[in-house]
Amino acid sequence: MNWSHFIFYGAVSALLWIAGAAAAYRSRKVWPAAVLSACGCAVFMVFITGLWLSLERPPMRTVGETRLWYSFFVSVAGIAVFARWRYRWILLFSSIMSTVFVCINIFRPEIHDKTLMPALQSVWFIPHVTVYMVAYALLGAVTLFALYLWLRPSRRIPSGREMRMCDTLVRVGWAFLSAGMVMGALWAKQAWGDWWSWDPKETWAAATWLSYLLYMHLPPTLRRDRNVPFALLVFSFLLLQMCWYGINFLPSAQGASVHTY
Amino acid sequence: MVSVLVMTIVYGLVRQDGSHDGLTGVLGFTRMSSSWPFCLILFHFMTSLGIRSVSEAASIVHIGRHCRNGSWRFPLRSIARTAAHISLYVLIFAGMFGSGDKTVCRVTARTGVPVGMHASMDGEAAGLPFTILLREFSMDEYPPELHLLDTAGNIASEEYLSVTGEGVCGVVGEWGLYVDRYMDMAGRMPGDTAYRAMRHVGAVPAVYVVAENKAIGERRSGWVSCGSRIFRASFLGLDGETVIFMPPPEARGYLSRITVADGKGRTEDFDVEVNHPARFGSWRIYQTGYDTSAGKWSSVSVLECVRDPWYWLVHAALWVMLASGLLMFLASGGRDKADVPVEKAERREVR
Repeated sequence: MNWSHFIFYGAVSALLWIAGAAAAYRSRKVWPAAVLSACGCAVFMVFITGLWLSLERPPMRTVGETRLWYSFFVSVAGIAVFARWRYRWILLFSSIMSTVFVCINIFRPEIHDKTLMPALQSVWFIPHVTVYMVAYALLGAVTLFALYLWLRPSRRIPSGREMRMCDTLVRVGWAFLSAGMVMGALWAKQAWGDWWSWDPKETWAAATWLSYLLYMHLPPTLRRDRNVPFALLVFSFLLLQMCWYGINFLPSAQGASVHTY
Repeated sequence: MVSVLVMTIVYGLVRQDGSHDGLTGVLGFTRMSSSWPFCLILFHFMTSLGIRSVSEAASIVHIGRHCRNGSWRFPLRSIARTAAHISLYVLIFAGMFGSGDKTVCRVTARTGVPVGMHASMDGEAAGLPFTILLREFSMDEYPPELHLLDTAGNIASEEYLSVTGEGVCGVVGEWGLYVDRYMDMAGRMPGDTAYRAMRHVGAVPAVYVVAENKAIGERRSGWVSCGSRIFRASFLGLDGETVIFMPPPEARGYLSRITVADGKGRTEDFDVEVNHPARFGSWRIYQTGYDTSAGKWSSVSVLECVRDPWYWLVHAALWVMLASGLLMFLASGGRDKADVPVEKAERREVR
């Protein structure tokens, strides 16, 4: 198995994931969509396993190889969240993200061999990044939903079910953020001997985490004022953007972060 | 919580260079983690969190009642919440407040020379409770790459040819490149035109490359090498402004083979790599750096020895935090206890 086979496996997986996303909308039951998407993951795993055996090492060393794992784990997370809460759009979201990474690997083959520096060669690398990507995807979705609930033309007061969906997505997104921070800390201790070093990326990740935590702790009196929870969600997402790529442009972070690349 | 969030945002916005200039310097924001506002707010936060954690832990005994009622989501959510509060408290207490108990020693070890001193954080030399002997430092490199360089703008091509062996060929830009000869350790004596294989300190990878541009019908060939402290780099000129060059190969991994001995006769050998520190008693030894100007011929390895008494507590708390996230994932959704449907409440009353 080598990279020239990837286009076939990638295309089949992407089709199965999109089919699963479509099934989520068309069927009232969970299992058709979940099974289709899971088949996509299985086909993808066949490619990863084949590549692993032919390389005689886990395919975790080059940028192209890590994107394989992103596609795989993001779609698995999407299936888990869909199976758990039955929000139909989740599978569409995760399928699109996984397919985007498949496309990047197909259209930019020169990254297949791009080297990974020694510090990145750790079992924590892929889980840490994947978990953050899933968190960002979920929190991005809840921000869009919050903007819709806040500013929709009808100005209708959000129903209990709509607010619960916001809360659930924030809670799950926050759980993934926490997992990302924990994995980062465990990795950092192994690599540098420090759990946390207030690197700008870490600082803004902490700010994002605290902001969503604040949302989860809002007292009922503040939640009843419909502007406060939604404004806080949008603000938290801005902090997330700062953490994600804003630090690449922030003056105080220039040259100070191991995470800017 | 709001104040901690605000302080963290300020922490991110202010450059942490320890300067004393300006308002931010005077308030201590340029060295936030040792500033008074930050520490006081953190102390206040930890007091609230501590009280909350104790009350959560005390109310955990009532979970049994909910389990008997058959509901699983509420107990699971309670456990997740309690675990999150307690683990966060332990993490900040042991990880942040406890970091003062951590000892960090940076050791510069030379091959064959035992070293028992380290440079402490303020630059003074101090003794270690053990000696480190660096037996060997080795670096594993990725295959060298051939890039095109535009000498006018000093821009290297993003495309490259990875030289994994002789006979490798590929297209970079408008040129088809073919590796006619490749030596991973070579050198060129002054006056020679060709590289010869030599296993000498400072030996470099060298490639005899043949480049062909079918569009303009040009063909060039010559030696290309990245150079080192001993040997100069070589380039192959293609047309007026473009050359083929080889950047220094990137490190795949570097490894220090060390022997650690304490004064009581205990000796142990270790292989220390990035992400794989050595454990000697309560100390962990990390691979931090090497002499980058010498590259793989470095005879110096920079190791960091860390002793963290709170290690296992923080480690355990991190895993508990991870578990609480997972429990929260499983327990989310459904109705809150405030949403108990009316029929259920009435049924309870009738009973």
